[in-house]
Amino acid sequence: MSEEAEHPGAEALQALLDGELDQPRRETIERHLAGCVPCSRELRDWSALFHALEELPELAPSPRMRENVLARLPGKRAPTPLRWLGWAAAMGLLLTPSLGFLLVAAAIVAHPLLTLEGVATLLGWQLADFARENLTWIARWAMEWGLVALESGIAEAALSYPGRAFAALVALWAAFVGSGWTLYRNLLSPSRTANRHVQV
Amino acid sequence: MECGSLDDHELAAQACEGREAAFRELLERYERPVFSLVVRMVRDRALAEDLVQEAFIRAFRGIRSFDPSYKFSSWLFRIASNVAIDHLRRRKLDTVSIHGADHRGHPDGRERPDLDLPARDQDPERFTENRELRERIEAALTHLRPEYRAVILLRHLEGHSYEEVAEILELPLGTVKTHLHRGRAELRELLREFER
Repeated sequence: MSEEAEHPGAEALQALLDGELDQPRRETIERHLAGCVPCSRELRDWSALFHALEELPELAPSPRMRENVLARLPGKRAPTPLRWLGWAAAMGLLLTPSLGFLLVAAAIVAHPLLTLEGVATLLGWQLADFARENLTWIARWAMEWGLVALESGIAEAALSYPGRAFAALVALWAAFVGSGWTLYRNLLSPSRTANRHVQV
Repeated sequence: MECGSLDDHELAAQACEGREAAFRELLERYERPVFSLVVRMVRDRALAEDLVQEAFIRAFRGIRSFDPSYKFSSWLFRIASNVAIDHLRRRKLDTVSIHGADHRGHPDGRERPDLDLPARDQDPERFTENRELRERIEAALTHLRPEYRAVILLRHLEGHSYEEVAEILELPLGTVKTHLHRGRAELRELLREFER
């Protein structure tokens, strides 16, 4: 049986459709196909499958993916996810003034000359003053709490141990600012340094 | 210079210098083709986005290792297919290595009669417009083992030559031909099954 008379087989038909056969082999198969109905039908089957595969639609990812890739380009700082650091900063921000307030309240309550009723009265004054004289409330608030500090012994303690008092103030301030900055980096500005190293 | 007018190699060279516009252009050119490949490999859209993202980041961070004597698209598709195949291996979604095993028959070994594809008596254009058929092909692709799926998608979706597919998947040319042939045969069998 001559080569031309042999059925080419599925692999050769696929290679023909792929355009991967050399010319002599291609011509031999084409001559065979011209006279062989089953092989021509087989070729049409494969051709239909090829067309269907090539017509499969291109699929698009979400725009978020592109932004995520661009945010992590070489030289860029990866966005900091909401990890434990962010939550710790949030807790720190929340707790730092609360802790300060609790320390002051404890000092007041522990002082023999002041009672809880006295503090409540003072807060009542403040509230009334705030409503009445809104413009001067900051000065009044500072003055009244200054008096509280004097009466409760905090000021006296601070004057006795100025170094410790200063260190405590700095620590509270640093904790508050640090927490706020960390929270800002995590929540509001995850890639603030994104353009630092990349030319556009 | 407008990045859109540059070819891939010029863009890659600019990306090596850290130009964000070049990275952006390469991403815009290839995000859809790469995603189309990977999503059909892993069958999960959200996961595919994560893997494609990983592939692009690996490619961009390693852009200096790109050899300009090769096609950029082949290099990128190699990274993406490696990421997808590594994931499939880790997840053990499929049981056979990308380097392949002889698997000509269907697992249940039943003989099946020859069934006509719907295109037999149709114009190819009408055939390809058949949405139901397209959905069946998508479904059938998910049943193929990953090494067959990869070669078929790279050949038909992306139009890569046999040699390019071999280069992308780092397989011998003969293995690529075998995978293509067997993968298409399995695909045709699956389509016939779906029709019954």
